[in-house]
Amino acid sequence: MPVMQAEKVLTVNMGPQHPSTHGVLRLRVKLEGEIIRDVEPIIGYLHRGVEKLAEDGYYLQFIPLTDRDDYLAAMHNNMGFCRAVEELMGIKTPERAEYIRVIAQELNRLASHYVWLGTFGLDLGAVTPFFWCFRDREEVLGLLESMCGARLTYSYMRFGGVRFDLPDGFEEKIADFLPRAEKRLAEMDRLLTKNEIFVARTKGVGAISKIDAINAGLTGPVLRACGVKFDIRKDDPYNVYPKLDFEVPTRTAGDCYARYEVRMEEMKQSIRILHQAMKQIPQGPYLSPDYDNAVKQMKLRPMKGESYARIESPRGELGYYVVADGGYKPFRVKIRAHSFQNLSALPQMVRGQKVPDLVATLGSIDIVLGDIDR
Amino acid sequence: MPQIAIDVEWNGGLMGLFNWLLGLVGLTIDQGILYVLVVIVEAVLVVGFILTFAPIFSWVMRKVMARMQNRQGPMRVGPQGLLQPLADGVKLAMKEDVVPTRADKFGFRLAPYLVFIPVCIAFAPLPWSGGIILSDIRYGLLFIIAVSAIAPLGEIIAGWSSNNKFSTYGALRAAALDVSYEIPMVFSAAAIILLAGSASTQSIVAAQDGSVWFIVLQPLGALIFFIGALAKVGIVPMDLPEAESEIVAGYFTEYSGMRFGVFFLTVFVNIFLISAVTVTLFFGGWSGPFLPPLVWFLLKSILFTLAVLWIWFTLPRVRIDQFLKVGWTAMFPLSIITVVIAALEVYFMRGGLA
Repeated sequence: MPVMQAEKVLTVNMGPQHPSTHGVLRLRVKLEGEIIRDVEPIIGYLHRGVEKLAEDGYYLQFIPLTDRDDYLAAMHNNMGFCRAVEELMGIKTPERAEYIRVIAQELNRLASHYVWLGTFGLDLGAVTPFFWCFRDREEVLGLLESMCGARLTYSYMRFGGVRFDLPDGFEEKIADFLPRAEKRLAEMDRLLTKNEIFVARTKGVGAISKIDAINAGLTGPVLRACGVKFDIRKDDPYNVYPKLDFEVPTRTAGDCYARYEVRMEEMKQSIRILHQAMKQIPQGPYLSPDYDNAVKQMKLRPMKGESYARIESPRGELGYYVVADGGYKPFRVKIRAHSFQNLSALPQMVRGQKVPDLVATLGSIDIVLGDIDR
Repeated sequence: MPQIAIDVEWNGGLMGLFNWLLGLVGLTIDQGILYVLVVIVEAVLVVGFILTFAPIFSWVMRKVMARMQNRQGPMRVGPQGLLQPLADGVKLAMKEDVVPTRADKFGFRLAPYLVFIPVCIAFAPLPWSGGIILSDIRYGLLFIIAVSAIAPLGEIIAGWSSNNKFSTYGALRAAALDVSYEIPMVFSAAAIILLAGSASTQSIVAAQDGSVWFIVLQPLGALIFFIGALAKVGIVPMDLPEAESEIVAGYFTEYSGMRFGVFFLTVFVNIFLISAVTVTLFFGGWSGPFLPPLVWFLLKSILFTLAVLWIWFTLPRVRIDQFLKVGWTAMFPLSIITVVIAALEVYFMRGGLA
């Protein structure tokens, strides 16, 4: 009977309002029972045309818009765009500014990873890490706020430096915070890393092979969890990263657990970098004297040309491609979004797995929809 | 009523009290009618306990949660956050009562009751103390297990009638969980029945009073029973029917207002129930020195309730297939072994086949 031959595959929409899609992502999931046959990410619910908006303002005016892209790593977005424009114009940056940039980025990396860790726990049904992470993130945001006055959208970077120098008492505050962050990370480690349920939920889940990961263009912790030691801070250095001693953690399994381990290790490395940067930071100007006020920043006018600059953001390679036509405004800006690339590999990771694995995998690749949709 | 052995002390006492009160005003009443009246009063007391317990529990839950998870909220509403349950209640009551257009409306409205009422009925054979028990039926323990097996029916009706795929998934998960974990629970309870020589909850407590608690004789059985009970309540790490991050909220996704409140209430009451039953079976129930039995019973039960909360706020959620696998390949055979162990224990304690 044709009536009895009902479709075995059931299509379920996860999102756009689903609690675990990390924003407004819609996943069209084809299920056979609880087994996932296919997943199709449907994006665009947060599209704001940021790249087009770049063409309407001065170079400086695009910086606040980059904040809103990957809103959990606004410093990195600032940095990526500034690096591209600086390369385009050959702007030299004072050393102190480079150190401040590193400090800002590593703090932001910590803050971003805290959000990831908390929400990843939430995806696995553990509520406590979420609150702990947000408690710690508040402290990082407090530090960032003292640097630039904002807690989420910093607009801190300027072409040739940063907007403000480090505030008074910053050194003490960060020296107070870092040991505490280390201690709390260890606490989190005890709560999750060896937890049987946590391990059972993440080991072997959402795995992707090294070769597939490279082919899919994955970057950041997701790629490093597959055993590829690729970190732009080391392989295409910028700022003063070559002067700092830190390791690039990798794992080989390529599954959720490996991604978790890599990010946990990265947080420890970030703290290590912050310790060193605070110790090494020299005195001097924090903004290149040639561009040291708003009028000069606004009147930036690169020669005709183009540049692509990339940085290592918490989610991977963040690239800015800027084309200049010799005017005050960019002719074209294209952002290479890390989350977009990483999300594109999701179907490969979860085919044949179960619905809870999909949630865990999505949490482990750490996407930000603002970055994907732009 | 041949099957129901009414506890003489308590009911008799209450009936005596009624008779005395009636005598004061110079009335006599048929003892049969009086008996019915007494039962109604008792039922009101138990339901009253449940209904007062729930808000207190929700407040305690929030405090424990706040302490463990660094939350600020539960200090804000009233002194020590004491007005929070009231605020919760008002909020739930004010919400619009939505029934989805394409839902099976009868089933949708019926389901919360089918989930909540069995839990209340299961309180009947709970031995609060030697004298206080609603009805000391001979198969009290089995009665509790059997009655709480009605709840999955309500869960399935809730999930199916919502006309929502996530709800249906949640309902099927709830059913799978209940079926898988009821059997080990029954077996570990059977071991206790062997040890106590009776299925009456009072006799089980009496068998532990003065002797050792059954946790000493049946540590494995206690573990299995407790895990099974947690699975039946459906809280972390086994909150699979709800699984907020996976299937939104499972079978009660579509419920709002007080209907949702009833499901939540059920979870609270259930947590107390499983704590009380575990205490009764394995931790000597109301028995204990110095303090009155009722205090001992409440103390132990509340301790267990806090332990459940502790588990709730610490662990991540297991995956359904992993958990069912554990249920059928480990818990089920182990629970049978506990029965064998109990039989051997009884054999040797009595000094052979007497």
